[in-house]
Amino acid sequence: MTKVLLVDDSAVMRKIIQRNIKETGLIVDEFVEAGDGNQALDKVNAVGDLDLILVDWNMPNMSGIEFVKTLRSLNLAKRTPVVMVTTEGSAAKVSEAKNSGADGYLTKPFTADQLRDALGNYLSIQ
Amino acid sequence: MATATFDNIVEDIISCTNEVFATMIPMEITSDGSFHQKEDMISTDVISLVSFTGEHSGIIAFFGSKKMAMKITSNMLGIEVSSVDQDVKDAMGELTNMIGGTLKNKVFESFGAMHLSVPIVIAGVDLSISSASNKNDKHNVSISPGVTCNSQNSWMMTPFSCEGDTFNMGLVVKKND
Repeated sequence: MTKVLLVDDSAVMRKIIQRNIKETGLIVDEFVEAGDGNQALDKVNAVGDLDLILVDWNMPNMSGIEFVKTLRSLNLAKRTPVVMVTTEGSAAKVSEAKNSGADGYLTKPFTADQLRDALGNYLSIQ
Repeated sequence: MATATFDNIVEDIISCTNEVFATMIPMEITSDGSFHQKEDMISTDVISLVSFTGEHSGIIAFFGSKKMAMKITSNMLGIEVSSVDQDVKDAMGELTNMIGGTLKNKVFESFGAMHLSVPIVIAGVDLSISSASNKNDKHNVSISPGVTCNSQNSWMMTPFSCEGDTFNMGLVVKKND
């Protein structure tokens, strides 16, 4: 049972990511959604075992980077990889994300191949 | 640092908009130059704005009809959308956010680092933007109903055609002192 947490303040973007994941053949059984970092922390605590967390950077209340830092500092979901999915594409932001505990980085907009490359290490492919 | 020019940024806006439409919508669009919208009135149904601050500040915005916004949203979600609902507003915000983010990454060398705001989307009928000079010769740009911003530059519009309809990507930008 593969569970992925999608964290993005745009419900449309969460739908687009789900559709693209399915279309690229990556196998996910359940998507759990959150609209900001605070909601995401609640979901991590409530859902338990997650196989992957995809998180946007710019969100209200708690940003994606604050979420990653909090997640790692509290040692929550410590075996769950986190991939940032964001329009922030500078080398400095990528470096900040990785130094904060993110395992991967995908810049929006992305192609199907880029999505597969970014998530292929964490999800099975049909 | 290279000098930022409108000539260069038009090409960047076209390139960024094409990239977002090709990958995330997906829809085929064509661009047709650009024009400056100074004191003129704009009449449109859907406006989606992302402001940016940094060495330069300004706004990048989508201006289009309800029909165009619904068509784009339908393609983004893979389902038919028949009214301008929350999904359409969300989609237009995300569209402008992605175009603004891609542009920010592309013009970093000439415009310096920028911070983007979260998108603001307004949908209605015949929404207008009007510019009027104040005492400091700035253009007060008011977007009915009730959203205001200030710019020393005129809107630069880059028109796009798509499946028999059109939309504009607008930009106001100024270098901060």
